Formats: sequence, structure tokens, C-alpha cells
Amino acid sequence: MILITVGGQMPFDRLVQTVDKWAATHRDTQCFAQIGPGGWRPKHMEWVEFLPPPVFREKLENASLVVAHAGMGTILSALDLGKRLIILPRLGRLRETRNDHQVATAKRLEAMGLVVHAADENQLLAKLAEPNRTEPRRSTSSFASPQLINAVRTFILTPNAVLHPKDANGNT
Amino acid sequence: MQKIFSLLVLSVDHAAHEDPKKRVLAISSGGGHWVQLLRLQPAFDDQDVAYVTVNRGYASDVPGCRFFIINDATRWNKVGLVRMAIRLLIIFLRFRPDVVVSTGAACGYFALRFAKLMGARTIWLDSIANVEELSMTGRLVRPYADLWLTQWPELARPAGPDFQGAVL
Repeated sequence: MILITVGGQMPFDRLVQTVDKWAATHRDTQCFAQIGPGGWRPKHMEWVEFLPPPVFREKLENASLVVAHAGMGTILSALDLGKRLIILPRLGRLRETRNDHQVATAKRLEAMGLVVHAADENQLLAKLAEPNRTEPRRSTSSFASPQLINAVRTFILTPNAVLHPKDANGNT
Repeated sequence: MQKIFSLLVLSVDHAAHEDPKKRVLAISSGGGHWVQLLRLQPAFDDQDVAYVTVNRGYASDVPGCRFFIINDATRWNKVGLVRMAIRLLIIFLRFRPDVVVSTGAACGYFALRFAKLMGARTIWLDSIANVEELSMTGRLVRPYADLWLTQWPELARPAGPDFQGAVL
């Protein structure tokens, strides 16, 4: 099953429409879409506006591929379960989000070998057509890196820890 | 009001001597911010921790933990921000944290400011989604963050933010 998700906060019709177009000619592949509140309603796949977190988790576990925006909630949850991810970033200039930060995120995570980045609708269709291009991803840990856990823990347990002593103006 | 506040501070000091566990308030908005906050759990799950977020459904992610709900608001919704700040202040007065940790966004800004007013120590972990520059909230909290972290080594600077690993 392919899980399509645009997060739970706002629709991302460009992504849903593109996958729906693909689904129309791939009836043997089951697709399920979380389209966001008020999103465009697909014609060729099952959809829901928003899935409660436990149900979303279940769908994610059953997915063989995830097609999503570059939201870190989706990406981290999918990587946890070792799922393959194709990411179409939301664009600031199309008002799909505030700015182009999702593009930077998608590019960086692709460079790390964690996701496949589709820059536009045509690339998304191309990547859907080439399953070999989306190798199964290594499963990441469910938790932050040991270094980060340790830094936060040490800070919590050490009341006098001061990393950057500030002067009265808050400058270092 | 001042009297009430100093009483409050005194009782915090008193409690701190009795219980070696730290009261940690972990706060974030929804979606990726919340997922990243959860990934820090091993850093404080044996402390006295309370979670504050914007979606009641997230309670199932932290079974058995103290859990508070606030309304969600961004910097474009001033009324929502005021409501959020008031709700948060009440939570602070009830829980009286020793340490506040946030992964964003707007609610984390208020939380760090209240924390400094009440003498708590603060951690800001800027979202891993901010690859090219720190988030706007991340820059605004700078004066109130005792531990001010980015998740990308390229964004770290000698005067902060620091890089100490990532949630990934």
C-alpha cells in the first residue's frame, strides 16, 4: 500500500492530484491519502482529511512506500519504521507554506540517503514509475542521537551548567 | 501579586531540596515539533516530567505522564497567542518546572520566557527542518535559552547556537 500524506495542518493539493493521476492508471496498487483539512478530494484512491495519530501510525506500518510533503513529523515517523519515502516539498511561492524551507530539508535529507526528493510533479511521477530508485531506507532509531540525549540530560541534571555566559545585555 | 510570586518561588526552592528529581516541562506545538520532542524522552523520562502540546490525541504518545493541552496559535493570530500565554501561565503556576525544554514553535517562546521569570533553566532545540537558517522563533528565544541548540553543524556559531547532535 502507498500512503500519501500532507500532514494534518493544511492541504497540499498539488501532491494529492499528482498521485491521484498516477493511481488512475495503476489500479492494482492500493493507495491511501491523508489530504489535510479541506483538501482536494481524490477520485482514484481512498482518502481521509485527517487521521488520529494512532490510526496514522497503523497506516504507516502497513505502507510499502510513503509519498509526502517535507514535514518532519511524517519523515521521522516513516524513517523510524524503515519506510521508503518520496518527498515533494511545499513551495513558498505557490503559498503551500510560508517559505521554501521544505525544499532545503528535502535536498539535505536526500543527500543523507534518507529520502527521495521530487522537485516537481513530473519528477514525482517519474520517481513513482521507478521503484528501484527508491531503495528501502535504513531504519533509524526511535530516539535522538546519543550525543543529543546526553547533552540535554547533563544540562537537566546540572543546575550550574552555563554554556555561554551572557552579560547583562544578553550578549556573549 | 509580588507577594504571591515570591511565595511561589520560595515553595519551589523548598521542594527542590526534598526531591532530587527535576521537574521538566517539555513543550511543543503539533506535527514535527511534537515528534522531535518525543525523541528526546530518554533525556528526562526518569525525571518528573509534564508534557504540554496542542493536540489531545498526542496523550497516547506519553502514557502515564502529566499532560496539558493549550490552544495552537502562530504569530499571525494575536488573540490566539494571548489565550495561549494565559493558559501556559496557569500550567507553569501549577507545575513549577525546574527545567523547560522546547522544540518550537510559538508556545516554546512563551514557555522559555515564563521559565526565566520563574527562575527555571531552559533548553531550545531548533527544529531539524531548519536546514539553512535558524527558525524565526529560534532567533527570538536566544536571550531566554540557557542551552540554545541547532540540529545542523553548519548553523552552529561560537557564540551559539550550539550543535550537540540531532533527533535523527
